[in-house]
Amino acid sequence: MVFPKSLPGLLSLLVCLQGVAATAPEFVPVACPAVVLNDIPGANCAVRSNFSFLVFGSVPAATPSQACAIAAIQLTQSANIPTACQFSAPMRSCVCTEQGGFETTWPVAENSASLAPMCPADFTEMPKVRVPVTGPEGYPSALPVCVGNIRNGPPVGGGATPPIPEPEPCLTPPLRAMTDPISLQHERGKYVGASDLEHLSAAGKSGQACLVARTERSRVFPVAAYVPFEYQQHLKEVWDTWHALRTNTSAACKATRDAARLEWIKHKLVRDPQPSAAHAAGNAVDIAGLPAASADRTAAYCGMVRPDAKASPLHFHTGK
Amino acid sequence: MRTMMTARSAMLGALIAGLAGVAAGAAQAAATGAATAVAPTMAPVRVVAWARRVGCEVQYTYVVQNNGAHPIRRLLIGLFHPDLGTGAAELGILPKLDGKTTWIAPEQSRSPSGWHVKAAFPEESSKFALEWIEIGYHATLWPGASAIPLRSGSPLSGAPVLPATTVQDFSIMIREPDAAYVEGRANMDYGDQSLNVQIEKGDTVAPVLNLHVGGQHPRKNSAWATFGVTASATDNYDAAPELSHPKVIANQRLEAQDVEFEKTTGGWQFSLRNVAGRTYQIQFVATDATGNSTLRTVDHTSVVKGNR
Repeated sequence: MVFPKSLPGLLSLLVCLQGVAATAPEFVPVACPAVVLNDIPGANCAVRSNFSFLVFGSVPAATPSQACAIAAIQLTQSANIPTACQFSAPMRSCVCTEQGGFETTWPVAENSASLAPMCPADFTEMPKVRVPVTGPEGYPSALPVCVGNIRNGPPVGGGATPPIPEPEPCLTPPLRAMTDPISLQHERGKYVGASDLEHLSAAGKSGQACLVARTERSRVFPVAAYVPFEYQQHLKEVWDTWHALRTNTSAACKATRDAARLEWIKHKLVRDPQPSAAHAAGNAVDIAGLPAASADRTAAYCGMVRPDAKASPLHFHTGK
Repeated sequence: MRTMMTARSAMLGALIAGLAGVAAGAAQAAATGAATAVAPTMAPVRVVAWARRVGCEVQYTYVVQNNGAHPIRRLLIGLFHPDLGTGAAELGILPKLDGKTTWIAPEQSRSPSGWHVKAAFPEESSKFALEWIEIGYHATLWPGASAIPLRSGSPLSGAPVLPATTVQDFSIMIREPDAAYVEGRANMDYGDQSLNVQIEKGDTVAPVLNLHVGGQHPRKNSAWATFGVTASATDNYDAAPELSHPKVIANQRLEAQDVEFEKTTGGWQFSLRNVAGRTYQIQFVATDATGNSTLRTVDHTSVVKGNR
């Protein structure tokens, strides 16, 4: 397939549809049923004939059931609680049950483009642009958008399989797995929409209760309390890793970058997290809604201090 | 009231119709394959804010138009979450919470079926964001989360805001206007992006302010001009635009005893000291909940003995 030379200088944007599972991943020339911009007639595209399934994180698997089995192993390892997962076809999800009965549901999606770069040689995958489609197995998937130069680019598809260069190692380490059970509870959302008051120190608990009780306003509320150190480290790692890799398109860093991106979107961090020893010790609370004019006076009455009213107006900790 | 409701319905209907036209264009573009790449200058999602007073509170309603290719299951109002560097939460006036968590009390909010809303504090500032999230997606992100305090019978999952659709069931009540609710940014999980868009004002029409001068109009050769002014304001969306306390200025320096005015039933009673060469201007401002305002004035030129 040769692109018409009557369109010099134009960029073509090709979206390539996944092929069905095959034993060896390779580019296969097929008629492109998807997106071709600029009305380029007859454009073909190359497809990578391999796929995996996405169950929260990326799980390389041939079938959804296999993906759920792997998810069970990962969940068991991450929380250190035996967990069994079964694929539910009607729910299109892995239904996982922890020992003790706690049940979670993990939607399954095909992640057919995750194993290797999807764009043909001399075409570049546009970062952050994906086209949602139904994958070959019938589950949600996403396809990359490829950018190439029509005039200078080589024919796409039909040629020899391009050599796959040896990937260079990623210099940014992957996000570390948490092991602290309370940190894992935070990460899994036990305190989303509330605060971890139960792990505050005795002084922290009484100070928090006093601050809230002293203000007769329905809009006064603790928005952060005990925050375990490992969880704080995790948030810091998410920030640092995402900022290090956000423009990195190398295959070697892809898994780390994808994981950081998921965490980046999930946690909505808006500034570089600064680990707080007071929160990690259970001696600090962040309280919203306290009247600004009397907050310090109220804190003093409650045996708390607000060390930096300007930068962190909600932050109080025990002591003087 | 019926008239206001009709006007409001018509306004929202027109908005939806307009948005649908754009959405139809986006859908057509998608069908021809152009949608994902052609529109670098057009945000794939529009968030339009409507504000009005309801009783003693202000209701903000958000219309979310998804022109792009990804479903939306999480929407944050008042959050700027950049890919690089520092962002910010933007809202300052906190809605009433449910008393135990930062989930918003059901009577203070409205959400699409299977969605719920909470206040999110992504930093240690006093600002926050409102986070609407589809409950099934919430369970995916946080599988160990405590149960969301839902009304009895509420569904445990809902539909996302799908591509080429518009949803207007996001609203919140707060006790006083906060400009950030209509002028801030919105953020959402969008495909593999954290997408920021500028919130657009739905109501861009200023209130209509009517003034009527009556009572004892300025009498010649008197030490004081005494008269009444009735002021009323109407708005295309906000049923009760705020009418400011009148302000009196003049082309000469005013002393405290030169101007007296008081609120009366339906208006204001003014007493202005007549001073040679002095012209007073009484200013009224009507402001709707979106922040659109109209200034209207009443001028009075002093008439004194020997002044003409």
